[in-house]
Amino acid sequence: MSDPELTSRVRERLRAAGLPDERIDRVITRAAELVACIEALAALDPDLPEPALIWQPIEGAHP
Amino acid sequence: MTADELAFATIAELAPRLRRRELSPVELVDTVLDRIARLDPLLNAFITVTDEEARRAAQQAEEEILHGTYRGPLHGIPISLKDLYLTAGVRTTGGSRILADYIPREDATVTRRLREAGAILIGKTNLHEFAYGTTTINPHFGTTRNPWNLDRITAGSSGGSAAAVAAGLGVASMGSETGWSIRRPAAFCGVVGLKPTYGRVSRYGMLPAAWSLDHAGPLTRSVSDAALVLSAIAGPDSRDPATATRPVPDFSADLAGGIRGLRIGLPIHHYAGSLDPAVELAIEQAVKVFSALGAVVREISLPRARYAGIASSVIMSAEVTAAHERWLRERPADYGSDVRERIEAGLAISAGDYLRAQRLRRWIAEEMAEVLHTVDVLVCPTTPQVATPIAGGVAALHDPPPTVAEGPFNLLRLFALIGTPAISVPCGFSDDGLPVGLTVAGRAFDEATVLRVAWAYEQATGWGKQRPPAL
Repeated sequence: MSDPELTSRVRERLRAAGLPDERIDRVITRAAELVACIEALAALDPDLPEPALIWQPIEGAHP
Repeated sequence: MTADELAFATIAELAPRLRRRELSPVELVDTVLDRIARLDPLLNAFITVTDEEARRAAQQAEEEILHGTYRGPLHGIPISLKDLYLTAGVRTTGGSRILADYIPREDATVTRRLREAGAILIGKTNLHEFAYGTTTINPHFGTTRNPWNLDRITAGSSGGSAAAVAAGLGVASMGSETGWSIRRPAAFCGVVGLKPTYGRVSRYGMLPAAWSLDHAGPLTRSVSDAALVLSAIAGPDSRDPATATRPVPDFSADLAGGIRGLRIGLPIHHYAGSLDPAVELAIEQAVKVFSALGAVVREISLPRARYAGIASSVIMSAEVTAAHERWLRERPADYGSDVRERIEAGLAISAGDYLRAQRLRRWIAEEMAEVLHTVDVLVCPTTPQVATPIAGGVAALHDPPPTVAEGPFNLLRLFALIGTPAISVPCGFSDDGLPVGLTVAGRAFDEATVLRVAWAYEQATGWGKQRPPAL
């Protein structure tokens, strides 16, 4: 991983979730991809629908 | 029919012969089981072959048909299930060591509906472990190989199902899709793969990957077969509360209705210039076919689809990690290394991240619903490349990480994310003989139009009639 700040943020998240350091080393690249997604999402936040309109199955998909 | 002709026939071709008693289900099932015994050691499409059960069921089907009890077009048809559908009395592994000895006591709803329609279960197919990966390189049950070139992957996670159908090891197979897991292996293996609308088919009794993204759907050798299987498995189920109560049409009724005047949208900004040359050429030629059939083809814009990959990744990771919480704690060493790493990486996602991704999902779905007021279906490449090599047991499939960009990988994940129906049909071959797939996608619960467009294309081109030359 080339971005040390991102690496640090990813480690912090995984440690907070209880993952031991030796496992964090194994998953850091995959987790960094996810955290990059999360940070892209955060930047979009003001444009997204209100929480009342979060995902529900398509109209008619509930009995 | 010769044994090879029987093995590669479609349901639509076999069913009338079975109904008229010109063909025995016992003969058909024996032909398929013999072929599995001969070819599956090369392909590794199956985890479990249910030969004794299949022969018993074929005998029963033969007696029923002889006595005038014909259940419909699936009666006597040999079908396999991805090994995440529960099957009473038959082990269901999920492709994992964790469930290597798990024998369910009841059937999944899909399993039950297929049995009630008279289909004959011939076995359980290989998959990427717990459907959480895209290669079907499985550390516990081996790598499934592509029937078109044994040194290539099938893609996944429904790789065993795609390989089985492509190789004539059963007439159809049930797969599942959370991101692209029906349509991508269908494209890599030159078969038809249908992901119905979210809520159209019950997931009760399927091992979950990600609850809000999982879909059940068939892989078949023709579009009409996909319609026949969907008609058998669709409909409400009180045991899957996400299933829709709306009526299930006869999906075969309007296949030949034609597409003259139908409006087809091409999200061309998401794939132009970013495809393998063979895929680019096949898609260009497919567009000409649709125009020649009388459809009105035009470019469309889907700006919010740029975010499909990140929304799908965050939702999928959070849900899969939650589903595996207990086993991750109690049996971590029993996972394959890639799936364990993927599950552990999901621990980085917070509840707030997950909810934000669900809001993004709604926002993307709203745009698609608006676009589908202006066109009847979308057409795009299923996947930007053909099947990639297996090198030393590792797939040379280097998908880029999800990014916010116009690109084919965001299109690939779009339809499972927003729950609308999509089908992949064969649309050509690369110079080295590997299949290319074309996706047709439509409005929620309008599988009928999606199937009609795919059928018209299939009839006009005949790509789906090709067989793997070595088999």
